[in-house]
Order: sequence, then C-alpha cells, then structure tokens
Amino acid sequence: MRVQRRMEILVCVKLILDTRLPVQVTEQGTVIQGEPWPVYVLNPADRAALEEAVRLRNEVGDCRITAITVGPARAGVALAYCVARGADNTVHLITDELVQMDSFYVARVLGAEIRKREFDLIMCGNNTEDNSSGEVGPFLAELLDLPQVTNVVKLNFGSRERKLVAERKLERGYRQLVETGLPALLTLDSSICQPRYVTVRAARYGAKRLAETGTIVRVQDSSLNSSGPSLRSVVSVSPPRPRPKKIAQPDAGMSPAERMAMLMSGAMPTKSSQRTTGGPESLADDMIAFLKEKGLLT
Amino acid sequence: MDGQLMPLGKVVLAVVLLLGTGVFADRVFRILRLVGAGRPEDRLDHFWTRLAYAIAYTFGQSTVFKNRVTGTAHLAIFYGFLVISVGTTNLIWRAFSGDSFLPFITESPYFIWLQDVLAILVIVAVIVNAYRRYVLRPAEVHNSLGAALVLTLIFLLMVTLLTNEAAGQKLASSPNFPPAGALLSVALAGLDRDHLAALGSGAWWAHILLVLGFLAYVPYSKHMHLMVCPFNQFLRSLRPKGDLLPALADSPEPLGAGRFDQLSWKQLVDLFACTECGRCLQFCPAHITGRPMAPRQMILDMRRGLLAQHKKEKSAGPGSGTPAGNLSPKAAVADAVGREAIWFCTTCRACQEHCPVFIEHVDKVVEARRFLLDTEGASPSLSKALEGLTLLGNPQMLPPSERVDFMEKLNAPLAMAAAGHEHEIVLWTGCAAAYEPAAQDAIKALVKVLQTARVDFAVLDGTEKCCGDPARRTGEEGLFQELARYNIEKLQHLGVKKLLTSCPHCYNTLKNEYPRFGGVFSVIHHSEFILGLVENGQLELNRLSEQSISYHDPCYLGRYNDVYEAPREVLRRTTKGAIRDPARTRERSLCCGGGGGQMYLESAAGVRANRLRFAEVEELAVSTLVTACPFCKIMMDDAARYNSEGPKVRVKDIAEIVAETMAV
Repeated sequence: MRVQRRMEILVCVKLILDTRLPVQVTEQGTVIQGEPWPVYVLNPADRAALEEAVRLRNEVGDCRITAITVGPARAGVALAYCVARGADNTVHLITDELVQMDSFYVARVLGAEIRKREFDLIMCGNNTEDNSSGEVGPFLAELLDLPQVTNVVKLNFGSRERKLVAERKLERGYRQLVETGLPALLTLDSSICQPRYVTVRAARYGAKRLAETGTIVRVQDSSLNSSGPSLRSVVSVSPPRPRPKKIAQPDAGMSPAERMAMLMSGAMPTKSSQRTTGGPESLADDMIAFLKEKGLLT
Repeated sequence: MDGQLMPLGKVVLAVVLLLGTGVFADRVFRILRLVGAGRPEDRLDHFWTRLAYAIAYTFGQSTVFKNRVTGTAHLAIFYGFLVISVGTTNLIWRAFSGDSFLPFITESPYFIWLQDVLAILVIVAVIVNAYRRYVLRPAEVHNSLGAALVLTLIFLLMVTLLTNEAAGQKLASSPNFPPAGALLSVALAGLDRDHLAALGSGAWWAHILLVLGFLAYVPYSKHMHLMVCPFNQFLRSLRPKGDLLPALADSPEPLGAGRFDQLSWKQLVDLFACTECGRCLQFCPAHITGRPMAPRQMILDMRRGLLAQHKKEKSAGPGSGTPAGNLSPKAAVADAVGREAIWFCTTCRACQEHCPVFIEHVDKVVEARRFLLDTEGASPSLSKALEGLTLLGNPQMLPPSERVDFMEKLNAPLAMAAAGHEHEIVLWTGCAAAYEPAAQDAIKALVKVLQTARVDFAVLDGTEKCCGDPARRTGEEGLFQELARYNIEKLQHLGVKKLLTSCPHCYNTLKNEYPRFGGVFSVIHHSEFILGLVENGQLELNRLSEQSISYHDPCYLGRYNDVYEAPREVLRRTTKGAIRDPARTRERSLCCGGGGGQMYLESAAGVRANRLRFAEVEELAVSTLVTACPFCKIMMDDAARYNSEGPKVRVKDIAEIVAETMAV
C-alpha cells in the first residue's frame, strides 16, 4: 500500500508486573510479586504490536509511530522501551498512582486523546497479562467508531490502496482472513512476532529522548466521567482449581454390546505400546520411524 | 659479481630499486592510512616496558618457539634474514659506490662466515618447512600459493647469494673459503674465469631482482608479518587478560564495530600481523567441533573485507559525492566473517594464548557482537538470557526471590552493613551456583568446607545480581556496566573487602573488570583459598581413596588468570591415586563450550564441545573428572549423562572432592 501522505500508526501499550514470575493475586485482583525489586515489563502482546508497527513502517517508508500509554508516572518505562525499539513519538496520559481503572475508563481516556490526533491505524495488544480483559481495544474501536480486527496473528498490506489484510486467530486452530480499510483498529496476538532484544544502551537513549520529546498529558477525571474512573470493580479472584484427571469411560456413541464388552474387559481397548531402548540417537531414530509409520511425519 | 657496476648497470639497478621500493612503499602507506582510520586507543603508554617486550619477543622468538621444530626453523630464517639483509645492502651499496657498506662489519671474515653458515641454515629451514607443509601436512597448515611462493623465493635468494659469493671468492682466489663457499667451489672447479664471472654476475642480478621482488611482494602477502610483528609486540595489551575495553554506554549510536573504522587502530594493525600459522586453530573449540568459525579465517576475512572496502571506496572516487562511510555496509566487520560465525566463539582465549604475534581475537569478536546486538538483536535464547539479566539479574530467567531463598538455606551468616563485625571473607556464589542444581551442590560443599575449617565467612543476602560476564561477552556492554555498578554499590555498602568465589567467570569479572568501574576488591578463587586452608593447617585432608582423578582447566581460571597449579595441588592431597591430565590441558585445555554466552546460544552445527572434551577424559579411564567452574561442571555433567549406559566418569567440583575427603 502506498499512501500519499505520511502514515500515522498509534500503538497502545501498558506496563505490567512480569507475570512470568510467581505472583499472588489478591481477592481484589491486585497482582503481588514477592521479589526483592519490582519487575515491570511491557505487556507482551503490546510489545509484539510495537514490533509489528516497526515492521510496517519499514515497508511503508513514510510512516510515524506514536506509542501511547495510560498510567502513573512509572508507566513511562514502557514508553522508553518503545522509543528504544523505534517509536517516533510518545504520549503519556498520566493518572494518579492509586486510581483504580477499569478497561472502559482506559479506553475512554485513550479515546479522548486519540480523537485530537490524526491517525491511520491503531494497534493494541489483544490482552494484557495482568488483567486479561481483552476489552480496551474493542472499547476504543467502538468509541472512535472504527472497524476493528481482533486477535491478529499475521498482518500485511492489501493489494488495494489503504487496505490491510489480517489473519485472525479463531478457536481450535482456525484462521480467518479479514480485509479492512483504514483507518482501523487492530488487536494483535503476542505470537505475531518475536520481539527484538533492546540493549541497555538503546533503552537509556530511549529514556533520554523520551524526557526531551515525549508528550505528557495529565488526565482530568472530570472531563471524562463524573462518576469516577471505574464503572465496575473486581469483587474477588479465586485461584485456578486443579484439573481432574480424565478417566477412561465408555463413549456414549458405542453400541450397548460394545459398552458391555468394554466394561467386562476392565478398560478401554488396550493401546498397543511399543518399548524401545538405546542411546539418544537410536531413540530419536525409533521415534521418527514410529511417527512416520503413523503418518504424522512425512 | 663483486664491486662496482658499469653505468648502464647502475641505471638498470636504480630503476629496479625504485620500482621495488616504490611498490612496497605505496602499499605500506595505503595500509597505514587504513589503520589510521581506526578508532583511537591508547597503546603507547608504558613506553619502555613495551619496548622491552618488543625487543625480547622479536629477538628472543619465545612465542614462536612454543613449537620446537617450526620455532627452530623460524629462528634460522629470522636471523639469516637479519644478517643477510646487511650483506645484500652491502651488495647494492658496492654496486653503486665501489666501497663497502659498514666496512668494519661486512669486510670482516667473521661476517662472511656467519652469513655463509646462516644461508645454509636458512636453506635447511626451508627444506624442513617444505617437508612439514607438503609431506607432514599438519591440520592447521593452510597451503596457499603465497606460502609456496615465499618458500621458493627464500630458497632461491639463498642459492643465488651463495653462488655469487662462491664465484666471487674463486675469482679472487681467496684461501679462506667459508663452508658453503668451499662446497660450491668444488662444484665450480671446472669453470674458467670468464664463465665464473658470468655465473657470479648472473647470480648477483638474480639475487638483487629476487630481493626487490620479495620486497614489493611482502606487503601483499602474509610476510607482512615480518614488518608488523615487532610493532604488534610493542603494542600488545598490558591490561589483565580478562579485561575487555569498555564502551560508552550512554551513546546515541550503536556500540561496537559495524564498519571497519569502528574497530580501534590496534585491532586493525592485528589484521596485518597474522602470519597464517594456524596455531590459533589447534585448541579452538568452535573450529574443532566443526562450526563455521575459525580464528585465523576470522582475521583473514576481516583483512580481506577491510581491503575490499577500501578498494570500493577508492573506485567510487573522492569526487563522487558519496561520503566514504556510506559505501560500506553497516555491519561490514560481521559480514566479512559471517554473522553466525561471530556467535560461535566461546571467548576461551585459546587462540590468543597461542598466537605468536599477540593478535586479539576475542576483542574483535566482542566488538562485532556489540554492534550486531545493538542493531539487530539476538537469537531467541540469548534474548531470553539477556532479558533475564536485565529484569531479574540472572541469565537463567528465574525469580530473584529464589536466590534469596537459596542463600537462606545455606545456613551461613549474612554479610550486613555496619554489623560491627567484619567477616574475614564474603562468599560470592554467582548465578549458576544459585540456580543450577549441579552448581548448587558445589557451593553447598564449599560452605561445608569453610565451616569445617572454621573460616569466618559470610554470604550475601541474594539481592546481588549476575556479575555481568555473560552480558559482556555477548556484547551487551551497557547491561554489563549496569550490573557491575549495582553490585559494586551493594558490596561497598556492605563494606566487603575480600571476596571468595567458586566461579571463574565471576572471579575474572570481579577481579579484572570491576576495578575499572570503581570496585576494587581482593578476589580469590575457591581452589586457591582451599589450598591456603590446607597449607596453613586449618583444613585437614585424608588421602582416603585410590580414585584416579582427571582435572579439566576452566578457561577463565587457567588461560585468563593463570591459576593452573592450586587446584591440582589440592587434588593431589585428596587421593592416593594419580591425577591424570587430558591430552589437551593447562594453557592448551579445550573449552567445555559453555563460555562467552554459549550456554545461552543454541547452535545446530557440528559436534558439541562438551562431548568432545568429555570423550578425551573418558579415554584416560579415570573414575572422577574434577573441575573448578560451575559452567564446566554443568557442561561436563551433561556430556557424562549423554552416555546411554550411564556415566562412567563422575563429574565433581573441587569443593565436593575436598568436602568428601576432609577430616571432620
């Protein structure tokens, strides 16, 4: 796609507590880390969105990426990363440290700012790993009255001008190909690309440039909603229940005779097992031979 | 021919002389300009020390002599050329003026004898070298056309010199024939005076033409080393071996070397010092295991890349309007070598240890990595390790709280600021020991040893971070500096003066690299510390078992810090059996394959270095392989488990062996 004027991409990002570390979730849904120092990272899906934006910019050439975040002062770290990884501009919508925000509030704060700007494409992560609501992107698209494509795992410019072709992740491995005109909003799955490592040198330079050129907007609550930041609040979060182990049971589709035979024999029809021994190389050979035999490997 | 030339001869000689030296000078100036374009680096400090080194290495030839046979041959050719070049200058001088050059030397019969004997020795050396090159063909020798040309040239130079000499002496009926002259004069016995004169003159011209041809060829060949090496020996690094040069981490530009002029001028001099001898290949784990990385090839590729880039820029011309830098690709240095190749180096330093001319391979690898990492990022597994270092302070990407828990479980006093009591020594465990089970055993054993010996020691609380070695060796200089500053501040806040560590990588970094960032601590490796305890009677070891032990030298303990004897001495006191070294040992030790960030770099090509190394140990039929490095232990342990019949050789850290044999 070749647009005449410069293409503007907005990437919405969020700084989160690293959930790869063991965390505890309080009943109110607050994530607590038990580390000697707090470990914040850019939300992986947002990071992938930024990475993908950089890739698009390299394709288009004349394109500007603006990273935008909503959060307290420390969330600026996320923007510093974005600058280091290639964002041209940043907007930090600063909120109070203690304010509890729900997805709709965040979407409205973003929407109020974005409405003042020119843009062709908004890219968000499809989900944050702390709250996992996956709502901010869709809310924002609705507020801005934009076409939206969610859970994007592959992205390309279409053959026609100002069109994007996105591959969506559906359930059970299904994929959907969607074409959309611009402007549009996409939410990207973190699997879309492997984000590049950003060196400390680049990150530091990013922080320095952020301090010099980043736009900071203090969020005025009253202008958005008189009833406060959250329309809803988390009541409780409970830990996952351990999954029960599956026990072999006669299938309902079996004929009564088959079911009887199965119950009488004591279990499911025995799976033929094959035992093999040897060194790692011969084991690997055996496994490959087995998989080929079953047609799982060609 | 002897004496002054006819006028026409003088003109011809002058033309040839100008041509030979002209070609030589042109090339040398071009190379000097290329080298001069490199980044500044101070290599002129300690002038007199450097001069002394240069003289000692140039004339003593000790680095070449590490290989006796080629060393001797090289010695003969070196001194032969030194003396004979005086003789050749004399020949040219006399051809013009009729007088001798430095007559008190060149007219002395001793000089004539010396020159004669040396010429014979050079011929012998050429034959020995040719035999080695073309009959023995050792793996590290690369039989290029240039090598053959140079051997032939040297041989012909000597033959023409001796023929001219013998003919001249026979003509003068000198009674005092030097040995080769005497021999040749027998062969020349049948010739009359006219033929003798013609032969002498022919040999003279042949000699002079060969000399000047050789001179013109030198800067185009590996024989450039005979001019560059004395300088390279003068310029050699006087820093501790394990101390890399830092880069300014607050830079808007990517760090490291993308273009060649982003290498320091000394690194560029190195490229012209290489003699292609191949000693660097013999112990290179990447090369031996068949990976597309070989130190010699790296240097030659860089040289080729530099010269090719220069050629391209020259042909573009100064008036073409493109700045020189624009023509060269961004990662020219890495491209010249191959981008993957740059990541195969384990920084084991075997190449540098054996390079007779002090080429600094590891520095170049790290410079290239710095640039690649900053501009293109890293492989997924290295990215993960570096991210772990950035966020969590360990390359294993494990929670820092786990380290805190591990330290608590060590049951040792914690080092505390202003505690009123200063512990004799503080144990720095390192990340491997805190997170990897194989290394945890070693540190637990060490704690037991320290407690048994009643050492007044303390451990850190687990909030320290990685020393930074894996970051630095993979080119993440900014991260290394951040980690170093964090740790230094922490240690200084705790008032730590003496550090004990079981990890040679930590040892090297804390000892050799932290001082540059203000962290000056007395650092001791546990093998040295245990030896001290044994020697002053604090720890008693029983030579309990008959077990035969082999010791694997960790690169960062041995080659980087010259600790070879302490661990062996400790081991000798733990067994009645023998300590058997693997075939490649001490400074020739083969790297386990885990250093230089290789632990976190997946590599598909070639054999695994740890399995190759372990096979060497298995050949010795020992019961235990001991090492003194957590990385080596993990790598060797891994190799031991690969054997499907179960490990035949158990792998232990030296602290574990000591803990097993100490008297409680």
